[in-house]
Amino acid sequence: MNWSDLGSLAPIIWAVLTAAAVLLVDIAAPGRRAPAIATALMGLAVTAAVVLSLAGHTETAFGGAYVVDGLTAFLDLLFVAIAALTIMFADDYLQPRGLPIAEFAAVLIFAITGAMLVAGSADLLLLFVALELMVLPGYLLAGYARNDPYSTEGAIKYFLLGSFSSAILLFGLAYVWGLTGSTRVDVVAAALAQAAAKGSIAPGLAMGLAFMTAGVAFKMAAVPFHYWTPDAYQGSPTPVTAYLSVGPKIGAFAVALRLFVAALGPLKADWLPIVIVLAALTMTLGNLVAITQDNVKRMLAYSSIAHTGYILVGLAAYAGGQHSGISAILFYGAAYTFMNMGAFAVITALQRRPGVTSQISTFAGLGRRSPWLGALMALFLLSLTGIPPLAGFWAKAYVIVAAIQAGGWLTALAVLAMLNAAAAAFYYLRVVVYMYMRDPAEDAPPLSPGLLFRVGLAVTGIATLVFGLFPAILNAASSAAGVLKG
Amino acid sequence: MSNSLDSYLVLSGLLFAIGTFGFLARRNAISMLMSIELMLNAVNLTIIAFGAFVKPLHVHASVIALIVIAVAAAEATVGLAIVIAIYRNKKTPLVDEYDSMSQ
Amino acid sequence: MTGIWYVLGLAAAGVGFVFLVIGLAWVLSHRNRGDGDKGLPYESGIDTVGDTWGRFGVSFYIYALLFVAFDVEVVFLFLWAIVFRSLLLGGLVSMGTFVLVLMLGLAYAWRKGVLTWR
Repeated sequence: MNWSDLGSLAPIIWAVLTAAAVLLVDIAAPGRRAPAIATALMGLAVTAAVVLSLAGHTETAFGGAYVVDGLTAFLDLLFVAIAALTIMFADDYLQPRGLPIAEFAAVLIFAITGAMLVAGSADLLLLFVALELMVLPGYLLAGYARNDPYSTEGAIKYFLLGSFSSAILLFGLAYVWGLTGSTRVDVVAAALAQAAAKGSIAPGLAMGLAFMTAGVAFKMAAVPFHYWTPDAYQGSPTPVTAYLSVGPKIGAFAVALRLFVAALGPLKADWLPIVIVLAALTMTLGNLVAITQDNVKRMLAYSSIAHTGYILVGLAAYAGGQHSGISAILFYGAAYTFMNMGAFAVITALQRRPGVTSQISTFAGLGRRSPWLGALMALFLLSLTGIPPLAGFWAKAYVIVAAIQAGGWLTALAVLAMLNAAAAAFYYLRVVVYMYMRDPAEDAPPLSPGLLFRVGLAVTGIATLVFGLFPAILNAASSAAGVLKG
Repeated sequence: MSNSLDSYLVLSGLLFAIGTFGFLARRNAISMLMSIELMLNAVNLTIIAFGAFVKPLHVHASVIALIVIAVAAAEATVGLAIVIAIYRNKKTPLVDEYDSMSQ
Repeated sequence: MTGIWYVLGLAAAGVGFVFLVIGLAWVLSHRNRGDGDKGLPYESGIDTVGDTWGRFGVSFYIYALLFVAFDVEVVFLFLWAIVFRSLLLGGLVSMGTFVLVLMLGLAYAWRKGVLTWR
């Protein structure tokens, strides 16, 4: 082992130390909520600072298995922000239900550690282990309300299909490793480039790549591998749903960037049609089913499938030869994180009192009951729809522009994405109509979220607005991070 | 074709297919978990077969297989914990009775 | 082009074997129809109490889960022990950290009262 390798790994070491510190605090003062939350947030702040101190470096560690580059830094910061926001939103939901926060924070930070490791891995085996480290705590979080039948039901579906897809991914990995002779992404890419130059790729290798593609599609919830999503999202405690809809999803796209772009780059032309079909199916089906939903959590679950489709358009644009597709994916991921977590946070605020459902009728008159929450929810929903000048508009715009520049079949895909965005307006605005055009229920008590919750909500709201008004800020970051070779 | 790489790959492919079939056909959550473990073990057999017959992969194979074993154990632990939690709520291990959310 | 045949063969054999097993199970499991006594575990012994799917106390389960988790992590200790001499200080520190993290998990479980027999 080389001691300097640990320097490259510093953000991950800090994240692990944070999780360990939260557990130690809980051992010292069992059940105390404030110290655990403070430890977790301070640790995450230090982790973010460490990531920033490494930003701009490009180095490899552990014999090339782990890389620190712009992409790693961008995704690491995003994952740390996701963890911090989730912890801010979680206590308002967990405390009234008598669920502990310390274990929640620790498990969440372990999951984020896995996601950060995914972001920097340049080795297929490390990629697999990191992916497992990201999703295993996710299964536990989904079933965190262990006496709630919905929560455990969502967890078991998420677990069974998630593990099934991991096994498929691993089977593909074994063949790719066995037939190319290495797990290193650059060696695999070289072997594939050689095969592509000869014009024939060994059938076993093709099968392995197909299995790996299916496994990744499962993880990012692309149609037709999306069955687990609605139940897992609806059943989980709402702050966990907020996390699941962004953390593992962006993690899966990090896998796609490291795998498709870096390792499978030489075969771009071969997997372009697959990604186009996946993207078209995913956004269309996600939107069509979302329209029929009356439960807002379930609706947002289907809409998150649709958003996966939009992000896949960015990947297709890259495969079509448009390098800006990658930075469009990153911009979309960041914008989607803030607006979607904000929307789930408002649902969390409504559900602070145990027993409140996430049916759309719960939102009736929210604009009058609580003007701030109503306005913020409207902001997030409009951004998710893609109305300018909000973050969600630019996210869609960058993806679609990249696809149009790539041309060919991608132009058709871009048109389909625009049609889908228009269809999505229907179900997002339906919630806005409920909030402002319907009377609140007579017995609706006032809503009073905690201080930390308000801070988190303000952060998501401001981010959605600022990235919308000044997209250049985020675009500069995502463009710098999106410079990948391949 | 005994004692060749292909025969071992066919064997592990069969095991993987049995695991996949079990996962898709079984209704009991524990059986599904066992099927997933079978799939992971089939992958391990693939890895060990590559390691045994392809000289340069010899050392890697053992390391990868051990890591897969560790990951499989972690997965089984998490899975069993979730199965027990849902069994306490629903009093049944049959997954097609976990349908309270479908509309 | 032997490669394609080996993929096709693998696929056909995989699918075929699954159906073969189901078929065999179906054939074998219908043998005892109509004769209830033949299905008993002991034809001439004492009748069994309860059904075959009897359950064990669930208080074992957390031990079982913890055992599975910690037991398997030990595989990494074997690898480390084989090359212990050549790893020098770095190996000792790495493995020490690994065991320390595992111990933190155990300590947390202990503190949470999971290890108390109920």
